[in-house]
Formats: sequence, structure tokens, C-alpha cells
Amino acid sequence: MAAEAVMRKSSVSISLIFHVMAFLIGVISFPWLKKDYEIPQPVSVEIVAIDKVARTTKQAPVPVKKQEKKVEEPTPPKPPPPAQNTGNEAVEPVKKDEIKKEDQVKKEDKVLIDPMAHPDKKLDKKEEKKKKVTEEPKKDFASVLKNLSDEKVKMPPMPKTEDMKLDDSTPKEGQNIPLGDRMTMTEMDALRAQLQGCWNVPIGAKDIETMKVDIFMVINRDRKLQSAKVVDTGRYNSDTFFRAVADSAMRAVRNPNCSPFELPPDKYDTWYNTTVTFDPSQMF
Amino acid sequence: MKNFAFIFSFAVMALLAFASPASAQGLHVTVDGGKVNPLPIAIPDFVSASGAPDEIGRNMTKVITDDLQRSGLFRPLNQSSFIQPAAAAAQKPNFGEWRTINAEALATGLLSKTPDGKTRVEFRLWDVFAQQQMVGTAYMTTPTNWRRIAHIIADAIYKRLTGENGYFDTRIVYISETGPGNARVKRLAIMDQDGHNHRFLTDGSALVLTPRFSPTMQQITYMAYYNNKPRVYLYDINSGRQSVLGDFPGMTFAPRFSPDGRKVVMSLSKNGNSDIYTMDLRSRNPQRVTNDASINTAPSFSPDGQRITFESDRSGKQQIYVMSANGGSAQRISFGEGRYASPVWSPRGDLIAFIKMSKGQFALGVMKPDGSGERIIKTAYHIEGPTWAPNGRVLAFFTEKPAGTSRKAELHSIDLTGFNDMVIDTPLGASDPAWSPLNP
Repeated sequence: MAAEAVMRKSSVSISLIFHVMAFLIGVISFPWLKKDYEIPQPVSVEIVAIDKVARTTKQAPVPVKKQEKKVEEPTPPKPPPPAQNTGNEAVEPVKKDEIKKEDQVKKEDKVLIDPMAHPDKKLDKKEEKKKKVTEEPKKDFASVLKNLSDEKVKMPPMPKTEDMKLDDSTPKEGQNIPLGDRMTMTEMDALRAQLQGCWNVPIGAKDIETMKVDIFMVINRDRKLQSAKVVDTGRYNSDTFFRAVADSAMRAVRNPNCSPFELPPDKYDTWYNTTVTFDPSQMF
Repeated sequence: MKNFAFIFSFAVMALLAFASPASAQGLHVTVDGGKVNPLPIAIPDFVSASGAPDEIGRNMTKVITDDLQRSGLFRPLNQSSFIQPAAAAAQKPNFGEWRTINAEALATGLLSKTPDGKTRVEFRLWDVFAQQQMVGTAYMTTPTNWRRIAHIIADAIYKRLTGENGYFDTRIVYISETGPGNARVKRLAIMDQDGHNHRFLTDGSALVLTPRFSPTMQQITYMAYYNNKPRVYLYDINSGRQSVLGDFPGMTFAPRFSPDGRKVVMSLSKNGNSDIYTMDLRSRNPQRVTNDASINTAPSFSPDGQRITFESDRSGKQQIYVMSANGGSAQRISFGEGRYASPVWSPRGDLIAFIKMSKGQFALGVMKPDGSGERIIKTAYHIEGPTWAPNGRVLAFFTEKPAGTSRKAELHSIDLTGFNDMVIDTPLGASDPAWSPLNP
């Protein structure tokens, strides 16, 4: 009897605990339980032309260069036929190409110096001298990867491959934020366009079209970068190609030309933690 | 009661740990494009440890700068724009001043003499924006070997910033040509990839063709004509020793090496057909790979040695095929207009370079090993002889001008993206380049 009573008591206690847990989950996660939450009114959307700063996420298709060259000779030469032997002499001994031992670079003498030396990071507080630099004209690549042919090569049908699954694990932009505080498309496009201008993409890197790099940033209220880090540190340390792309992304967010960030000052709570995904796949 | 309190506290803590307040996730933006420009890098003159200018240091700086500039991936900044002096930068970079001139990377070097007369070069590569050192290495060698050290340092910069292995500490073997078209004198020649340290390996008394470099050793194969027959030689560049691999009637290209350097792959002609064979360099026993009543030629191994790509006219026209290196069925991978020839598999494995003849013109192109993504990166009156740098990023080839003009053949290098087409300077006309692996 006593045992039954104890069991009944503990069942009630456990049940009570779980009810409390459920209640607290509801209070924290369900906004409508908050007393001061107001159901957002529908916001009218005015369709306007995208301003100069903002850009759409999709890039216009890059026109393929048509290269038409005049052929100077109508018939190309055939591959060189085997030449006639000029004589019956055997090939004379070739000259040695000696590499003296002392000219060899001593790998065992290589010394790693302070692999992660951090000299004084303190920036000069004085206004930095602006010195005019005569920059060489930028090499503007007309298309990402050159193709001088306008021929569309018809490949035989390939077996279907599994569609690339979109990564849904990252939070959607602006989720759970009151509507008035959310970043507008134009504001996000402004930041996107700014970073695009600072990101130098290593286009020839192996498998570049499949590389995606996430950079997590903490941004100060003055819209300047406080800190940035590559999210996938495991891959950064094991894949040199990924590291090169990740480094290019880190240089983009640290580029002085992208400081301060194009962010609305009054929405600091929205953007002080920002994750930027650098995805070059659309460029190919 | 105690148990109840413990369970309750635990439940509350677990709840709070997993609860998600409204805006903790933050903003998420995707940047799906950028610019494509060479990376601006500052390379002040390497100086002596005392800070004084050093002639060898200056020369090394020039070699490094030229290497990186020629790759097309870097834009070395003009030294006249530098604010911080080279000596000070080598001791402690002032990143603010380097940022001002838009340098994204900084390379510094200090030279000193060791007690035994060797030169010690202390090199550092800095990330200007992150204000951190990326690479720090010291090299020691004889003073006369400074050029190799410069190439090795250029490779280190290249590798750290692109992720790719470098290719500056390499050599190119090629056929040097001179004389009129009906009495051409051809000699085997070798030089550094930047054209320096050029020397001839044969004297031109016999016709030599198509040198091929081993991907692992300082060895080449090449073809020479002996008694009116093509004979293939195996030649060790370091020792100067060479041996005859065999006489192969009808052969038009010297064999190519397997990735481990122990075998070669070649085409042999018999009864009007041409088939692919592999040969172990120790046993010298050819093993047949294709068995087809057509012309199968110009084979090249994949970097893992498991497959070969080759040219065949079995479909009625020259096309490119891929198959297992042990034999079996071949898969055609070229489908465009024109004829395809001379496929060469990139050491990186992701591309096959080829020559295409279409509409009266020659073209150099690349495609993926499954045939997709075909791109033409160079057209000319006559292009042949593609060879990959050991990192699979850059191609060398040769072009010829039409008859009637000066028939000088010249070597070129080009990035796989199709940009940065550059002439490689040679003393005379040049053809049939073969790119070495990195020097040991």
C-alpha cells in the first residue's frame, strides 16, 4: 500500500514536470502567448524599379564571345608525316644535364618560422596617408571561362543523377523577426552587391563550381566588421582548394572597400550576427 | 522530494538550452557571384638581414614577381607605390600602409650567409587584411642556385593562395627547329619554364620528335629516326644515360609515361591498323590494350593510372575515347563538329586537353573526362602538342604560321580558363613541348 502511494506520488510529480515544460516551451516559442505581441498588419507592396545599388540575385546570362577569325589559308596542313632519315649515323650521345649536388636545395634545412606569428595588430590611429596609386588597368574577363566556339556540342543523354539537395539547415533570412525590423530585399541586395564587388573568385580552382563557403560575421553597430570566421573549419584544414576559396571569401568581408557594410543602421538587432554564403556555382 | 527537485531543475535547464529566442539565428545572405581579377600582391625587394639592399635578393624578387605575373592569377603591385620600406616590412609589416595601396597579400624575404658560405633565405607570406602570417619558411642553398629558390618561393605563394600545387620550379623539353621547310634541323632542347637556363641536348644530326616527360622522374622518351625507322629512346636528364626502348615502325608519337613513371603507353602499327599498347619499362614487354580494326593512337593515362584516353577513327572520323587501361570497351567522349586529336589527361584529373580541326582551323580545347563542358581556349592556323604543367592548371602547346610567312613555330602557355595566352621565349623556332614534374 505504502509502495503504491509512493508510486502514485512520483507519477503525479513527473506528469506535473512535463506539463510545466510544455507550458514554458509554449511561452517562449509561441509568440501569441506574449501579452504585448501584436498580430502584424498586412503590408502593401509597391513594385518599384531596382535602384542602382541593389541587384537581383540571379545574374544575367553571360554572352558567349563569338570569335570569328579569317582563315588565311583554305587548307590546313596535315599532321607531319614521318620524316626521311637524313643519314645512317646513329644518334650521337646526348649531353649530360648535370645538377651538382651542392646546387640541390636542402629540404632538411627548411625551417618553419613562427607559423602563426601575430605582429602587433593595433592599427595606426592617425589618419592613413592616402597616396595616389597608378593602378594597372583591370583585366576585365568577358566571361568566367573562355570558350571561343559558339558550337553547342550535343552530348548523348546521360543517366539521371540525384538532384542536389538544398541545405535547409541554415535559418531562413529574417525568420521569427517582427516584420518591421526585417531586412528588405533591397537592403539585402545592397549588402550582396557590395560583397560581390569585393569578392575575387578563384575561378580556375578544381571543382570551384561545387564550392560553398559560409562565413559567420559579428558586426559592430558602426557596421564595421568585428570578427569573421569560416564555419566549416574541418574542411578548411583538410582541403587546400576549399581553403583557397574560403580565404578569398574572408578577404572579401575584410576588404577595406567593403567597410562599413551596406546595412541599415536602425536594424542592428537584425544583422549584428550575419552569415554570408559565398556560392560561385551560379557563375558557371 | 529531492528526486523531484533534481528532475525539475534538469528539465528546466534542458528546456532553456533548446529554446530559441526570436532573433538569435541572425541574418543570412548568399553572395552568388564576384569579380574575376588577378590577386594584388606586394613583393618588396628581398633584403639582407641587416636591412641593406642585396643584389641576389633583388634578382630573386624579380623572378618571383615575373613567375606570379605570368601565371595570370596575380597582379604584383608596382614597387614605386609602396609606402613601407622593404627592410622594415621584412621585419614587421605595417599592414595599414599595405592596405592603403590595395595589397591583399605581402611577400617579404631576408637573406643571410651561413658560416659554410651558403645563402639562407627567410621568406614570409602575409595576409594583409587578416594581419596574419600565412607562410614562413627558410631555405638554404649555394648562392648560385638563387634562381631555383626564387621559383620554389613563387610556388609556395602560389600554393598557399590558390590551393593548387605550383609549377614554377619546372622545366620544359621541346624540339628546337631551324632551317627551311625541306631541310629542317631539329634538336632536343631543355630550359626552365620561364625560358632561362636554355641548352641543347642533341646536335641536330638526327631528326628528333615528340619528347615526353615522366610525371615522377627526370626522364623523357623521345623519337628519333635511325635507319629510316622511328626509334624510341629513354633518356635520364640528370645522369645523361639513355637507352633504346625499341624500334617501332609506323609510330608517329613517342610513348607517354604512366603516372607512376614505370610504364609507357603507345600506339603500334600492324597491317594498316594501329592499336594501343602499354609497356613496363623493366620487362619491356608490350601489352595490347585495344583490338580494333581502325587507327587508335595518341594515348594518355589518367592521373590515377586506371584509364587512358586516346584518339580513334573507328566511328569514321577522328574522335576521342576513354577506356580502362587494362582493356575492354571504349567510350566516345567527343561529339562536336570536326575532328579531334591528341588528347592529354590533366594531372589534376578533371580535364582532358585536345586538338580540334574544324572549318579549316586548328583549335586547342578542354573537356571533362565524360565529354561534357567542351571549351575551345585557343584557335590558330596550326596548333599542336598540348602538354600540361604538373599542377594541371596551365597548358603549353606550339603554333605555326602559314606557309609564305616566316615559318617559325613558337611555344605558348595558357591557363585552363582560356586566359593568359603567353609566348614562351626560345632562341629559335620551337615545337613539341613536354612539361617536367617539379624539380626534386
